[in-house]
Amino acid sequence: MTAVVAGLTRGWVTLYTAGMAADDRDARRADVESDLWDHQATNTELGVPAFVTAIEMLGRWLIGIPADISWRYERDVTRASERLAMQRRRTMWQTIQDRGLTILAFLMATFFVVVGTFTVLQMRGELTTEERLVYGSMWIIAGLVMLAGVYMGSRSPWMAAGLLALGAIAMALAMFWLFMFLVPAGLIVITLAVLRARRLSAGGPPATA
Amino acid sequence: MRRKEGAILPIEMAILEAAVELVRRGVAEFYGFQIAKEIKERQEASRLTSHGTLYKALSRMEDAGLLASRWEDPMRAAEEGRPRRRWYRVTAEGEAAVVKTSVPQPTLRPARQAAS
Repeated sequence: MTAVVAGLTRGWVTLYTAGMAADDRDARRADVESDLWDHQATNTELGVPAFVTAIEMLGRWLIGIPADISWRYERDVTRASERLAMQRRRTMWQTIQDRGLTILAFLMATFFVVVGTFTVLQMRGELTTEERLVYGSMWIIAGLVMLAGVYMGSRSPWMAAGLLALGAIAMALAMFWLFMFLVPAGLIVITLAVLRARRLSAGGPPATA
Repeated sequence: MRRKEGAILPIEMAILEAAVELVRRGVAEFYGFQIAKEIKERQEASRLTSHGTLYKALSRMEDAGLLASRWEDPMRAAEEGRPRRRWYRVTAEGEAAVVKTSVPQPTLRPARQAAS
């Protein structure tokens, strides 16, 4: 008889913990399993008749049903709040990343366009006309490619990542003497752009930047 | 209806008081059925606390920091041929809650140290 009541109790626990987070579910099932065993073992040791143990177990199960249901509800609410909070934190971090990417790429691109334009317009005198035209045009083009990447943003994230990477690499090559700044900055831009593209193509939340 | 933040329910106070009594007797940790039995004996009740009420209260008390728990080593449980027990103990916060809401209690520290 105790086996039947224990089976009913286990069945109920399995039912009300179904679909819960694994740690909550397993902990509650183990708690009750251990309790059922201890109850039977203690009563056997005390010489309590089996039917009395069965009645006690049945009572403990039935009387606890409302508490089981409300516990399940509370855990679901708590888990949902935790998920929401985590989602908010993640979204905030993604927004920071996306804004950082936009600002950094925009500054780099603008710097190149401005320096390239000044070079073409002979505002730096140590280069020949051909050199000025070649270097200036390269820098302007690299800057414009990056600006195009910034503009594409979340509309076409992989295209944007490609344009930003192309612009960053071209800049690092064209101004190799500034590699100490351009290589790390370029790597940051490329990494952030790829992360954004991966997130957006996986169905993640769009940037709020 | 939601209970007030920080409020201790009667079942939670019964658990804390029973746990404190166990500590005083040199039992630093307790498991679910043990505390249900202790409450029944202390309150001279006719029945044991139900599974749902007991484990819901224990879970909430742990979330509130009144209790801490650990799962028993599965090897030990297997050696004794029974399911694993979850061992609970009253935290300092739990002890403070008992002192705050009931008659003055003798200090619990010596008993706990003796138990460990």
